[in-house]
Amino acid sequence: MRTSLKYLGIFVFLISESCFADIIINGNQNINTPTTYSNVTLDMSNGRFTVNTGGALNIENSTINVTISPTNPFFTTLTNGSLMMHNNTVNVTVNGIASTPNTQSMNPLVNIQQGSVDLSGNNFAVSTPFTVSALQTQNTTTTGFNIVNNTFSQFHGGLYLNNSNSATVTGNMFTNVSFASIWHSGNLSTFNNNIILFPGNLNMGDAIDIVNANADNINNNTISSGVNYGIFVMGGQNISIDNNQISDGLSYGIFIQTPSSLMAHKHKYLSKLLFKPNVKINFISNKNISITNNYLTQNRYGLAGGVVDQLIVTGNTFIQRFSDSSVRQYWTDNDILLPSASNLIWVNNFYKEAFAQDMPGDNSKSLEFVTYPAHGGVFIP
Amino acid sequence: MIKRSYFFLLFFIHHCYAETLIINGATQINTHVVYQNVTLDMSHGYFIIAPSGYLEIKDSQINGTIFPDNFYLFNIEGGLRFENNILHLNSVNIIPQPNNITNYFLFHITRGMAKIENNHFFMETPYTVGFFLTDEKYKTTHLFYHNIISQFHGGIFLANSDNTIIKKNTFIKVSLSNILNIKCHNSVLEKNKFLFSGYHTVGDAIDIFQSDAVNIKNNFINSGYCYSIVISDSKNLVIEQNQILGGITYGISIEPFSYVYNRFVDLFTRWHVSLEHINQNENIKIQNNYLAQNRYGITATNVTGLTVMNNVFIQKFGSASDRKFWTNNEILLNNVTQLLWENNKYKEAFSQDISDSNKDAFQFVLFPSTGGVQL
Repeated sequence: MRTSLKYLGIFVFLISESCFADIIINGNQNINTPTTYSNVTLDMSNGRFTVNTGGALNIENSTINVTISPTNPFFTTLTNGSLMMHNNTVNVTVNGIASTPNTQSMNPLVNIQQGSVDLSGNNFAVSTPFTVSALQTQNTTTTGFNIVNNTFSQFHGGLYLNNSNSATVTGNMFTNVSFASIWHSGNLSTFNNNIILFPGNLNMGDAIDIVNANADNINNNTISSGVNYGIFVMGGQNISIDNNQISDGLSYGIFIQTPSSLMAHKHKYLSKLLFKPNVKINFISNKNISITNNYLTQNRYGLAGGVVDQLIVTGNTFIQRFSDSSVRQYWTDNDILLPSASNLIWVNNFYKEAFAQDMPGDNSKSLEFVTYPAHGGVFIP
Repeated sequence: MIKRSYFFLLFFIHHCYAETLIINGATQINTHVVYQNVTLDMSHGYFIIAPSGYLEIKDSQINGTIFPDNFYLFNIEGGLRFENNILHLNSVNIIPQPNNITNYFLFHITRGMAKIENNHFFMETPYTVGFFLTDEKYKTTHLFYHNIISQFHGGIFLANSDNTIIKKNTFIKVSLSNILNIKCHNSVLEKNKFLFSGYHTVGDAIDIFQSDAVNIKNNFINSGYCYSIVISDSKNLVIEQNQILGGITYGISIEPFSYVYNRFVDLFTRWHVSLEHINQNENIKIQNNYLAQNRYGITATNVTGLTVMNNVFIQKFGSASDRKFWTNNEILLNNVTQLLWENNKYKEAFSQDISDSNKDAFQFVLFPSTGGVQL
């Protein structure tokens, strides 16, 4: 009996340790073997992890308080190995990092040179806007990232997946993320069921950038109140953009840019993301891009693009509001919006005038759907 | 080897070339009946599922027609499981009545339960046939998961239904109400998408009347022709993380029952719901919602215990005085006691006019509890 009580005491002690333990991480901790933190609070105000070959950092059901500063510039770097985070809350504060709204963050929270990533059910938030980006890969190819059902709030750059293949990014919520909320170059990746609110954080940045990518699926995402483009493609082949809702954007809902360094240089923040001195990027051409069943609502403009071959646009609904018929016709005329699209298939697209928001506003044109023609613009009598 | 190939071939043929079954007239289901991987021709027939019956239809194509003399394609007193089907419906000799409740429904359930998952329902003729209607006499419980419901004249109409889950469905161009609950308890309405609710005429996306403990979470409501969410005479509701966009009027309206009664009087008469009412709402939480480019945001009348927190309102006004007036809770909230209004933000919507200025649209400002928004 006494022995049982003793064991019970030890068991209770272990449980309480695992549930409430506060672990201080000091300096750079190299992870060279599998290491797990579960049900703990990690104080990382002056500590960080570097995961190396053979290392696996697993963190679950924990709270992580990180301070990013010049002496503690990241939360985790993968030189190789793996990072698995499930159901954590990650609170990021900054100290001594300047807000740089118009230039790229130099401080990714998670920096990946190579290795694997599995993030699921985490809440990531940074307290100061325009300072820290969430996750960034480098030039080495990565494969099979799984990033599902997380929230990312107020980062200066969300997920930069450069040379990343077969990534799955689904069910995440991005709020007030400046620069790109999702950036992808690589192939065979899926970006589904994400909610992206205020991409650009009222300053600069698209919701989803697809640059030099092949066989990506961008489906069923909700993008609202973006300050630049909703979905931007430059150098995309075999891309499916299906059943997304893009609303209240300052500019185009979907834009397909002519792939060239010149055009990229003209793009305010792509130029900052893509180009380092003396670096030349070889873009692939835009080809076989399918835009289907999307709802583009109350963005200033709908869909436009530069040079693209085999563009398929079917089953989309465009909702916009124009002050007069000639302006409507101009800004819905594909001869102006898609002047360099070859082999364009444009079928079964509809337009509806948005409801008025001003009080005596007229809704007489807002009740009907009309065909959005392939040429000549939308005409509402 | 040949025998195996033969079986494989047989299996393949059955799956690719589903048998067409013709349902003629009233077909009574008294036992457990399963239709799988078939084409059901219901252009001249319908099912009546008896209390002892349980009908399962899976992986099938259904082509149905509603006539004036048969009100429902599925009249249910037992159980129904409807999974992975495509149903194409039309109506013949039924006059479209955009502004009135229809008497014709695809599913009508008196008692029992329905599980409706992963189907695509398309109604050819608008304003004629509703999707799902319960009676009010028996308590029922249902599951609607991941369906597409298109162009019906009324979506899911539930009376006296408890523990019903309506999740991940897409309602497209459904006129009248898309989801209407009255006297329902412990309902979950989550991750549904409503596009063009009301379809050219009247109709809200979600109506909750005289109900208790309803969670309306993570829904997406775009371009509603009437209100997006209406609450009346209900209590213990949570409305959170919804995105409500582009509606012609209020995003969320909490009203006394006397305000809504006339809008649905035919339906209420059918359900024996009278105008006797308490005219009061209680304990309603509206939090973390995003309401953009609706003409108005939230209005409420007769509420005890209203919490409005962490919502974002995006609207556009022609003048500062209009903005102030239409965001002033002294005008928008009437007879609301125990109001907790915290951390709500306003942003001026981006302009859609090409030549217009966006200078006011790049900032979030506090949406105050009184006095209206001042930029």
